[in-house]
Amino acid sequence: MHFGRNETDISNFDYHLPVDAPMTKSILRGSRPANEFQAYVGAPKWGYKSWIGKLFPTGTKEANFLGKYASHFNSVEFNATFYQIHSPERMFAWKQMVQEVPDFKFCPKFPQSISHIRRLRNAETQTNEFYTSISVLGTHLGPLFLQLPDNFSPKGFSDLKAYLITLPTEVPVFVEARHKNWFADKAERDGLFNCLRELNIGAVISDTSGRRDCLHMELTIPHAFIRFVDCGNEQMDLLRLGEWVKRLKEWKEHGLQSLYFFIHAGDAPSLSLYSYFIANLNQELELNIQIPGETLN
Amino acid sequence: MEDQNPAFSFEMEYAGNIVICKIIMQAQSYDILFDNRFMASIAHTGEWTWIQESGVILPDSTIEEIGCRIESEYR
Repeated sequence: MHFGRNETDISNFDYHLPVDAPMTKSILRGSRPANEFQAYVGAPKWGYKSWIGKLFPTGTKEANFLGKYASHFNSVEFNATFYQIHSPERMFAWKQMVQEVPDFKFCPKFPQSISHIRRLRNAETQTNEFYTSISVLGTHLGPLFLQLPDNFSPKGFSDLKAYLITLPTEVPVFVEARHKNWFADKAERDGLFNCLRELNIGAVISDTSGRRDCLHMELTIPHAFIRFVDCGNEQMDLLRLGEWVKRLKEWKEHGLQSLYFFIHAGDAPSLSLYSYFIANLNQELELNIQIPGETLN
Repeated sequence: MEDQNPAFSFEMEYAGNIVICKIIMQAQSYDILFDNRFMASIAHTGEWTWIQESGVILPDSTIEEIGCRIESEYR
């Protein structure tokens, strides 16, 4: 299953975004003006066989997907780092594949050995190994995201806070909470987001049709990391993405400094959602992000 | 429960039979059980394919199907 994708009847689905949380307004109001707003849009991985013959030339080998991907997108949600901590040599090879795209960013996901197996406890060795590995990416390293296990509830708050405090501050980190109790109880919710704000750590906003509680609209830093999951109905998804363009325009005008937006569109994703979103984002936020499959202006 | 490694199950066809496939996360790989019997351990290659590390040799199509399930489950 895709997180929250198949848990609702979209015939009665309200595609509008919730209003911003008070903290979001406060954070943006206090944000220093960015020299240049940075926006990155990408997919959950760089290789889909279904893109061969469309985005990728016919005959493209899997080993060459990344280089081709980077010629169309400026970022990737780097989920490969979830499954294992890769060697620095492996990271260097991936970095080399995007060297012709100076602004390309990898956004690594914290490894399962840290988040899901150790559940953030006694993970110092693994964390050091992970940071050593991803540091090889250099200027291609984007923010990291830590996805908490589905059953990681507010009962684990002390473990979460203790872990986050130990992280290096040089690399931005976003946290994705999924357990319903983080959002159902105001005290737990406030505790989480206040903690992230105090630690200068971001909150991943997950927009998925079946879990509207995760669409919390809380910015704990003046940067946004959004994971958008399609609902299987393209017309509805276009409306949802249109909502995001409007909101992001407001956020940018009020002080948002950077955006990382990843569209999850199934196992054989159509490029239409990416194209629609990027084209509208470019127009409304006055950006010039390449539209996949098209030549940059 | 929370101290157990994450796991999930689903039905799939294997060798002409429907089996309950249970996937148990390990630090850098996943154990695969068919009807509660250990069959194999598979790992992500980093290039969006999966390889078998140990156990009964499974068809590539079976490994690919299970790998897709894992990617969806923890996306």
